Amino acid sequence: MGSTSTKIKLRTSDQKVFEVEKAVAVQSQTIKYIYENGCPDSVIHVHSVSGDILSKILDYCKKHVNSAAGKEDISPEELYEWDANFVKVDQNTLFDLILAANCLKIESLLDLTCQTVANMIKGKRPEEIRTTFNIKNDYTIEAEEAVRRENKWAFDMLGGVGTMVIEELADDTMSKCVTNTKSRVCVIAANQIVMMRSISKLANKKSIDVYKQPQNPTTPRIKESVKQRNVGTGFIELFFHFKCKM
Amino acid sequence: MGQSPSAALDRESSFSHRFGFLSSSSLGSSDGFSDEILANRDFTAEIPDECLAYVFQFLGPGDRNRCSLVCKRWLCVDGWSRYRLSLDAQSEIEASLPSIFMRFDSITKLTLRCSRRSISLNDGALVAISVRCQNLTRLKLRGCREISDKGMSTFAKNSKNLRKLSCGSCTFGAKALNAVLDYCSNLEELSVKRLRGIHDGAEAIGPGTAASSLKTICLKELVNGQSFEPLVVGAKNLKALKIIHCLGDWDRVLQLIGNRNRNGKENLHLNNYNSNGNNDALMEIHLERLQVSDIGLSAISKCAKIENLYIVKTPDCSNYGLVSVAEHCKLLKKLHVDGWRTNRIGDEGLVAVAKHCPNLEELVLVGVNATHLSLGAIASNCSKLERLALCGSGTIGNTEIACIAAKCMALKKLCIKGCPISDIAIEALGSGCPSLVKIKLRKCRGVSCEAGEWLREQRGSLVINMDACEVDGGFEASVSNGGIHEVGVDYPQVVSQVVDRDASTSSNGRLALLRSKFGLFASRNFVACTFRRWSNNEDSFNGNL
Repeated sequence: MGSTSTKIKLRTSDQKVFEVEKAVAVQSQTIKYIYENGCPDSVIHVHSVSGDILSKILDYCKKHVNSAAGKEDISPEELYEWDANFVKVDQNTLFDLILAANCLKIESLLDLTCQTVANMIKGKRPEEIRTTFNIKNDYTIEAEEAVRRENKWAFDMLGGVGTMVIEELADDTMSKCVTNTKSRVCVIAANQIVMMRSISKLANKKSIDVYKQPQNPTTPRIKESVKQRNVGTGFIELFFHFKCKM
Repeated sequence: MGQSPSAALDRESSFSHRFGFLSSSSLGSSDGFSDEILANRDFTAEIPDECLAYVFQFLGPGDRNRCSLVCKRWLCVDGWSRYRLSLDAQSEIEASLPSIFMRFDSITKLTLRCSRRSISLNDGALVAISVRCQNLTRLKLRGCREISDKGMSTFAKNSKNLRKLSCGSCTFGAKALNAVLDYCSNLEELSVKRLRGIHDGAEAIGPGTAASSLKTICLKELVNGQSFEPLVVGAKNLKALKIIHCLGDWDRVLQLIGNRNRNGKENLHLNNYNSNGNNDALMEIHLERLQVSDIGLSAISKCAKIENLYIVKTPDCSNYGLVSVAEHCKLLKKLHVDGWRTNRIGDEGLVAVAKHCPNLEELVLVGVNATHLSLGAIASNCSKLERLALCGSGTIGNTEIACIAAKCMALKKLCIKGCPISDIAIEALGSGCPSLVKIKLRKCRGVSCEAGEWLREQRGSLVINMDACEVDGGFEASVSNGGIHEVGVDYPQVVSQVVDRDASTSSNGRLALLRSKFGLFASRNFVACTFRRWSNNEDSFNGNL
């Protein structure tokens, strides 16, 4: 009724029933809507989600609700790490999570999972993307060439177009620049010390292409995550994964 | 983003036709699939297009372009979900425009950029774009020198939804801008830089139908600034005005703005602080390298709602004008003054700011000879001051910093650049400014690295950004005469400062302690180690993520 531990029952597609606290369940806008407009006592069917996936999702929701409510003593960085580990799953599960988060309308989970997939795409050449996801190439050679030609007209890399160059900035100033910039491309000069944690978190959120001029000495962290890509002007394209060591 | 009730439908219609036998079993269950089959499955085909588009939103244009080459479905999804496009606006692009805009049919923000080396696209191309992009809300033009008044007019006719126009280094003129302002009645932001097509005797540029929608106007490097006067004055709901390095009589323009709405009936019901103010919506004014004097500043003072004021390199502005603004614009939150070392703005103006502007949050002074008289007043009276930057001023020394340290309770960020402060100022900061989160020191030769290190130890949570003590690889032979000499250059300077400016009594003793603790004549290697330690420590200091 009005008790703090109102429970909601959820039945999945494979007939599993979960009983969860209302506060956790209504992280899903879909469930919230049904609960508030339907009959709150009966079971809510989530027919497009399986028990395994729903179980994972409820873990996620619970963690986030508890952290927001202060029930769990967890810092923003720790929650970020927890999220990063949450999505260290196989592709099967990951895409199921995307579908479920979409269906259940859980925005932060959808962001997290889609960002993870985006990270698997960043910096890869088309053939590498196909390999990663087992996508069949249905282009003819001519069609692919035509698209490539067209793509050349669209600015996508260095060339001074709305490019932000970072040089001689403190780490938090740089973080702020990355947050506030309207650039889609960010170039980090050789002598700029980069703390991966801050730059990766922000670049992830803003879909910025980040390039770094190689420097000596390179901190070990940068070495881990840098892959050599020849982008024409001696810069290294940095791309970020959740696996990147913080 | 709707989810179809049956996921099986999506799978069956997916591009990946490897598994035509896909069962309608629910998501997530792996029964019925062997590991081998799972390993070859294209899971991206199982999410609806909207979800794929959402994934693409986390990617920049470079990655999106590469995605478009993965397969036809990805080309399609990327195409309709791209809202922002930046094109190389050379004349050769014209032939590709039809297919480009058939592929990208949802563009709302477009940039057309042409380098100086190329010939840009022409009127015909621009008009063709406007016909295809019916939902364009923002257009940015750079270096499109082949576009004329006629082309812009036709473009404007086709772009009724335009909210923001930014043009730089183009050659069209007043007619073009007037056309835009006449046809695009929803225009909110207009930014014009280096427009070369406005000749003497050109028609004036008025606000047109956008008079009530314009919120931001930015004019930069215009030779014919005066042509824009009616526009600036006529934009009645303007919130931000930035005029940088433009010729024109801006005193008069500001006076006209200041007197706007003054005679309206609304004024009778105003909760003005004084009868001087008007109902103007103007909140931000940025004046840089302009012909503007105290007359203009006095006119600005009539805009009682001003919160952000930037007076940069305007040598005709003096204390009188700043006092006038301060006395009437009590909502002032941000103030930037670059006095250009003309010494016309100083303590007098700033004391007035201290007295009348209690809401001040940010203060930046460049080339302004302020002393502890005004800085102390500001520190005491502006209790909300969070950000302070002091640059290139010969009068800001240890006394001033000590004053700030003692009185600025809310200060979070402090930046000092090129001022004659020394380690004594650092000592003062060791115990002052309780809310300080970050401090930046640049080109303050009187401050030693050891002092920075000391401050870091004193105040653990403070982020300190100092000029890197040079890590000179070739300086291995450290403790030589050369080494001592170089370090010694700083020392006498510091000592003399201690003697001259030292107000606090015991700092002599403390300074000596400092010196002996870190060893003034430490070799360069020590300094290098310190620097590396700082950069490693920075790691654990990033609390503000």
